[in-house]
Amino acid sequence: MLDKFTDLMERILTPVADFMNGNKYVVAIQKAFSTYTPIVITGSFAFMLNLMLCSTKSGLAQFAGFEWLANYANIFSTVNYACISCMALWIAFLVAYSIGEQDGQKPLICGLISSVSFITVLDPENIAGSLDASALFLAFFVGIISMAIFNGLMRFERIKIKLPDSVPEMIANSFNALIPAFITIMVFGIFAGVLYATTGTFINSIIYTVIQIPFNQAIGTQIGVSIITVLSQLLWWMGIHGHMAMNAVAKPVRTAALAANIAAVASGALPPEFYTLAFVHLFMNLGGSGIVISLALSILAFSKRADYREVTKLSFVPLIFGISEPMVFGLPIMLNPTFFFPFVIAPLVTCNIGYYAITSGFLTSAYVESIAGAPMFLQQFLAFSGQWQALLMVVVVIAVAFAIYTPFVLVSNKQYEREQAEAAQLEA
Amino acid sequence: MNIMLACAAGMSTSLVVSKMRQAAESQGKDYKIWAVDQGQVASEIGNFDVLLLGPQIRHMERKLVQTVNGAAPVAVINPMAYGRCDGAAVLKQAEELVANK
Repeated sequence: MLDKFTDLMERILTPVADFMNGNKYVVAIQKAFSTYTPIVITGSFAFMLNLMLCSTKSGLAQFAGFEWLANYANIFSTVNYACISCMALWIAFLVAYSIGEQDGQKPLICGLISSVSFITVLDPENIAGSLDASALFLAFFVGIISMAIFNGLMRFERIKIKLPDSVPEMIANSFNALIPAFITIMVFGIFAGVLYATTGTFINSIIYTVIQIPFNQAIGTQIGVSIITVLSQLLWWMGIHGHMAMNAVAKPVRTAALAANIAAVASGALPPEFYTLAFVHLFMNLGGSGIVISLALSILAFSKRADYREVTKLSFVPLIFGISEPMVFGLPIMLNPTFFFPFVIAPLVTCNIGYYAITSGFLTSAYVESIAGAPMFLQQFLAFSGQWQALLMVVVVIAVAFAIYTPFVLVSNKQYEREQAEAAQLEA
Repeated sequence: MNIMLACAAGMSTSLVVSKMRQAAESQGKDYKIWAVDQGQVASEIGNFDVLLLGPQIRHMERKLVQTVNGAAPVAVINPMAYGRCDGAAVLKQAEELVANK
């Protein structure tokens, strides 16, 4: 019965994970965002420093003697603009870079062609305002389509310009790509020009309204986030990195949400989107995907199994940094029927608690990117800009998950006693 | 021998790496052992004699075998040894892979 269940899950879920981590374009988008992570963190921290120091409403500049700080707000707002408000341009570069790498092309020229094509299709009157997170999907499409055209053209030897062997390889390479690059970029130029001449609009606004908004609205909702949590946990229960597998879908949504929150706070409003990385680190993956730290605490408090206690002690410090692999594979939780239910349900409950904590206004949503691998409490303190409510929620999440895990730890004691008794009988 | 481990972000494998180093040292073996993010495997080809994958990315095995393309043996680490950070067991797995190449 258990074998059948495991078998069924493997058959349904492994292809999902396979697609997410194996498809060329999905991999490229994922890689682009993970490469971009330090820049998102830089931009959001610059924004936070601006609020703390140079803002005349919330910062040090509101106090007498520090007014001069307001004149230096540009230090942080320019950094934030380059990192957050131009992110689609950099993502267009990185997506094509990764596709080019996977296709065996020179990745730099690929990234370059894609960024140039990306600028080509934007409204030339408003380039500066078109590079932000609202153009992320456009960046994916331009990266993918430009590489499809470019790679296709590079296959035709006849259109490569051949230089004599005496020409240095570097120069020969850039001439090789000349005609394919020219055609690729012109295709985007023609497309944008014709679209504008016939409809008077630009592609970025169309993609934003027709694809990106519906997609973000489907994922960044209570139901969407609940589904992502369950899928991620099911994968983890089978021993597959669920968070990573789901990132392909979830990361663009979270990054756009963070940018929207920053924009809202900059204009004096409350951050509107709840589903950011800070949310994940507080309500879904606190102390390891599945709030495993609560299982660890429950085992230390109640378990009679020496092996469980031993593994838990070894795994405890990594859990504080959000690393749950030692518990997942060592206890193991993986394919362990006893912990299947709480492992899936605990984070589902806590992510819904998080949803209500934020939408009720108790906790203000994050406008700072959370740092993966930072120790708990400090991680939430930074990501939620020092709100005490975030620290309280850390305790609440751990306590709720503890209550969900504990009955199953007690069951595992009973199972263990029964096994011991049976083993003793066999010996006798 | 050069042993490279790969996982989702290189974080949890680095726990195993430190235990493997300890095991290798106590056995008097001078091995180079390190961990990378799975995305970096391609750029490391040629530097490792064996590639071990964290069990949480075992669904990527097929793709990474393609990436490595015969340059070195590739295998998924035994989940229990991985979870319990049993450095000696993982080290043995690596040695056997290289020996049976």
